[in-house]
Amino acid sequence: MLREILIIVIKKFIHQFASPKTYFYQVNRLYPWLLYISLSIYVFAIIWGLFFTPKDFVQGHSYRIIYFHVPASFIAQSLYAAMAISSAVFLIWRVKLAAYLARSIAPVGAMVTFIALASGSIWGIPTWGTWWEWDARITSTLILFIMYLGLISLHNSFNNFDKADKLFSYLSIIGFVQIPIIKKSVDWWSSLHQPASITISDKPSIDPSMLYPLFMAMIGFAGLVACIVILSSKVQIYIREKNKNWVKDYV
Amino acid sequence: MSKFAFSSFSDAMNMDGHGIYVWIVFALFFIALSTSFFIFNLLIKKYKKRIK
Amino acid sequence: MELLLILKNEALKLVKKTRAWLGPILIFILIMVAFPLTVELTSNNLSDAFYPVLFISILLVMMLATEDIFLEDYEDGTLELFFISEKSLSQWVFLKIFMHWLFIGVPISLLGAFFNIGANNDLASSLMLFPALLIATYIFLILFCFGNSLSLTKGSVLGTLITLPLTLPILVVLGKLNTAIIFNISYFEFLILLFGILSIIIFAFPAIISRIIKTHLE
Repeated sequence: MLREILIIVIKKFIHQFASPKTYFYQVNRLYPWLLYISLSIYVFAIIWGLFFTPKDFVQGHSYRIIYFHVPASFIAQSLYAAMAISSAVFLIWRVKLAAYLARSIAPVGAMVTFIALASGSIWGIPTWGTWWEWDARITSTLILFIMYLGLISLHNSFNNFDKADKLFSYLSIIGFVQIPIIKKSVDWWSSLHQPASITISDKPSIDPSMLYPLFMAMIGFAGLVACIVILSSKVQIYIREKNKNWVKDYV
Repeated sequence: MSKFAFSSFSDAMNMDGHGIYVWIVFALFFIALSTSFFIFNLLIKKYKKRIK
Repeated sequence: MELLLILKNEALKLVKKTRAWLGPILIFILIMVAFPLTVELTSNNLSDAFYPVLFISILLVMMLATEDIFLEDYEDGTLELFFISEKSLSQWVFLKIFMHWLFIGVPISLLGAFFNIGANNDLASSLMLFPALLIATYIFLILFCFGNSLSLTKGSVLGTLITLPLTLPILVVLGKLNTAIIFNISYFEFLILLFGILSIIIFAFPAIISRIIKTHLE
């Protein structure tokens, strides 16, 4: 009895939230708060990291790029994972909103991956003496960037949104195999890129005075990227639901 | 939070010669994030206009 | 019985359409014969450059081999027949890929091992290379067929381009295998890794490809 009630409540909740209309109104309310809070956190973390953390013994002041590069790389991979999960939700439960979200994440993910690669290259010049090296982590991140571009071009080549969403979803789920390869590439192959400083199981190898601003930068950057994804999803909703009455009433 | 890591503002800009790399990355992130916000807001305005 | 019929049908189709399987093999031979011409006669770099050129030419040739693999069947209505009948489309896809591998992948693997003897004067390394090439050609074929199925109605270039990133980790493993063959260390580990990847995708991908084709037909 209780189980049936729980199933009905969960289904109703998902059904309600999974409607583009509910999602649209909810994120409109959430967006200003998310933007200002994440912007404040990010700016505070960057100022702390750039000006109030000690110099690194080996890398000098160039290590401060960590407060930009590491959040960007982490978010680039997380965005792909989120996109793959949305795609799976769309394929299994046929939730339209999941398809809209997956499509809206792709361009943002491509942008974040690009700035992660660019900042990594710039960091490589003082640290490794080279702006590019065909090592495991860098190459697999480049592959991730190309995957994002491939997904966007695949979706754009079809006029029928339903077909485009399904094909997009299949490709993004298959491409998800890249994420563990990127994460583990530094451990599996002898690599120029340094191993992960922050892992789930071990103590972080980075000093706490540098670690706290890094965590704050990651949270702030994640919030800002979420705001950009919200804007992108609103664009998708305007494109796909433009003939619906609620959109016309809202506009 | 530790004390200010540099002796002066120009030292903070220079960062023992590494400042150029750090500030280029800072500019890159600033431009990328602000351009993204700008472009998506522009697209939203465009589609709102079309619907009207 | 039905499987044998499909297999026979696909084999006949390939035999009749000679350029579909002979073309990629000839291109492979052309690349492997032409590349030593670009290397300075007096240099010792030929054997260093051989493996990378071999793997990249196999990648390219597999890409060419899967061009329009499903397009003809899509245009003449064979795919729609499978869609509306009770027959299994994924079985048909699996057998089609298998046939293409028999006609194209196996000869190329043989030729690759043969060219290795010429480049490195080493029969043992060719014997080690051959099974690795057999598995690698099948993996590339499956991945490019996946790409082609995604862009079935939009031309083959888009599909192969978007699946090219998926083949890059396989190239990395092949590069490691190259070192393993030269120095004779951990060769079986990498071979088993490749075999493991193949064993996962050999049945999973035809099922996914059949779903993608059904999406195009709906």
